[in-house]
Amino acid sequence: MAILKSAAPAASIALGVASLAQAADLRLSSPSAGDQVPAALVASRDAAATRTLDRMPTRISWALDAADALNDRPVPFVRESREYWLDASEAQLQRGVALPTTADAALIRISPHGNNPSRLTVDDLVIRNGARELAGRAATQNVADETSLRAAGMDVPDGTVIAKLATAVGKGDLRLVAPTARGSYLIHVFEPASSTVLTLGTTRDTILAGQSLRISARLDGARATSAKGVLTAPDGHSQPFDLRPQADGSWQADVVPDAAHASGLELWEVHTFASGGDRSTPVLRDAKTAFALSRPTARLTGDVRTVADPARGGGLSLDIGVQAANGSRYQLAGVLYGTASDGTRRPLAYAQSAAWLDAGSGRLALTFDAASMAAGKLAAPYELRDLRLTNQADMSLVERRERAVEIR
Amino acid sequence: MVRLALALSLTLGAASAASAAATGVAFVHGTGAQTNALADYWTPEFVNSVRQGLPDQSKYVVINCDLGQYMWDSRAAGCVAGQLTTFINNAGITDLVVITHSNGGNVVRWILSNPTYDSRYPNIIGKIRWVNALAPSSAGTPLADAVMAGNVFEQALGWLLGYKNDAVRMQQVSWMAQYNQNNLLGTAGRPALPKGFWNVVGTDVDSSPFDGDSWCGGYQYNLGLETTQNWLASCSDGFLNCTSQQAAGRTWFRDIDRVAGSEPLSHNQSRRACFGLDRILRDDI
Repeated sequence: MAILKSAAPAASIALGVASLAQAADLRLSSPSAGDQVPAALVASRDAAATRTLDRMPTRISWALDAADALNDRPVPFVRESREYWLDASEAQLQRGVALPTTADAALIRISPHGNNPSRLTVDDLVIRNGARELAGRAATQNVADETSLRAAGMDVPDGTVIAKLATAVGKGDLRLVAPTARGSYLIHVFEPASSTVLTLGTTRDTILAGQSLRISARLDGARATSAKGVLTAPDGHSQPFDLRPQADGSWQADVVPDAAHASGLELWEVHTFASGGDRSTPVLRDAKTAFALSRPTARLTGDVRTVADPARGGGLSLDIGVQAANGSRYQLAGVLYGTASDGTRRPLAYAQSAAWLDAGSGRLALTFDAASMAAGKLAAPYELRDLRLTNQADMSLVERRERAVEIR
Repeated sequence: MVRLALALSLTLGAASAASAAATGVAFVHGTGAQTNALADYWTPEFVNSVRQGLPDQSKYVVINCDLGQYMWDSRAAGCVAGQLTTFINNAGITDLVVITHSNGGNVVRWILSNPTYDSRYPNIIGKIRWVNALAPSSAGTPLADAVMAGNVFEQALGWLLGYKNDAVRMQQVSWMAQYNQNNLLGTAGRPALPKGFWNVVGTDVDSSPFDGDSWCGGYQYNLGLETTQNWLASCSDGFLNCTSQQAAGRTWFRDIDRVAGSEPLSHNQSRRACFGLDRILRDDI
């Protein structure tokens, strides 16, 4: 098989302001339901974040493959979990900590908490399953310590040990006993062979401050009896929430994150903890996913001025109105679609531009150069899709439009 | 397999690769802070072998940055951009092949995806012929999730675990999914990157002490793989699923299809002179 390793799609980079030619005034299309559109602007509270930003306007575009199937909006991640975590004190470990399992050969990670200098080895452990009791070495088929785990790329905390249970241990309501335990530990149970799976997702992976996030969870393979959660912000703030059972067996919550903890590229996390099953086969599952929360520091005004005439084979510049609550370097990015001979819209080129805008009304130009536009062999009408406005002070996405404007 | 380099056409004064007089190669390491990545991350054996493919073997740079930070951090992408710019300017590079390993691929993909973020980025992008991404963690790794997830318990309970490795946090699967959808290009459904991002994919691990192949690159690195593989799919290099290594750009080759003896490359072996990988990279320059 031969692989043609092409050097690159041609990229056209422009620094500074390009010359402008013919112009036509257009309006952005009405927002669709999936778009992210600020209702009101809020000035950034972090003026220092803008001090080091580049002041040089920059534009770049490159051709896209017309055969590429591009998403017009982000596709949120869906997490599947076969694991759970719990904290255990030394008293609990000495007595025996309940570790419900739904499949053989679970992996158990034991990590001393950050302020606990003690260590447990496999010889310190006992596993009970009902009346049966197995010493550590008999109860495990594989053990790895922090040194070997870190060498393999798993950056575990100090003192961590992971033991894979022997199949002889079986499954069910196991007990982990560590008679010599000192201090508290984090216990992590992972069941790769289990068919009991907690699925967690959100309807969007970016929201604006003040907007609600819909969270959905579902436990398959067992009946869930409770589901709780917590949002965690990048600054460590925690915001608990409860999930409500739905008629279809799933669980749902609508949560408005506390915008006081909004930041840029560092993500928030949704943690969900589900329990269920029955007395003979209890089930625990935790899952998490991530999303970004942005402050609406700017928005698109809706004004679009096209410059140059694509029908003549030239480049296309879209001069787009932006209203900013505070001065910053703002970035526009979008995908230009053209029309194929069969009438379908196909990706033609990608463009990104950034420039400093003072507070108030301004404009950013998104420029698709002639070479990028010619490469796709597509014709008018053109359409700008997946238009994104970003504040480069913290790279927060402040506005996104799935279908922005059609250019005929 | 045969690969052909097509002529690179760039505006803004960038020379085309076809007529390039100054080809260079840059090595960008993975997660962690490096001050001597040549010795501590890649090994001189690997780097010296690869750079034999250069017309002028002095035109190479081994990047030393703090890739324990988030990819966009000035100590990560900013540092990489600074060292690449210095290399390009001092060596007069007009045609640059970038070789990344693991999280180094994410940092370079940040630069390629956000060309307007930093005024140094466009010139770097203009000089890059392509990126050879060795086992890139483009979709993260479940191992990062396994390590990080416990923190919410300690956080909620007021414990001070003090886990500060932002690069590990970033390489959680859900985080990389969000970044791939919103801040990075080149994954399925997203616009392509401005330059080729070619993946070398590790598909399996030989971790038996009785198999001599396990010892290439250091057997101690493979000891924990038998445990970590439980978090991974059947196709993995012991740290990353193949799906993560193939999530962005295009697959150049899978280890067993190209390296000597059709051996698999574990995650640590894909940055070492194991099974002829160095010679394949050398011939690509």
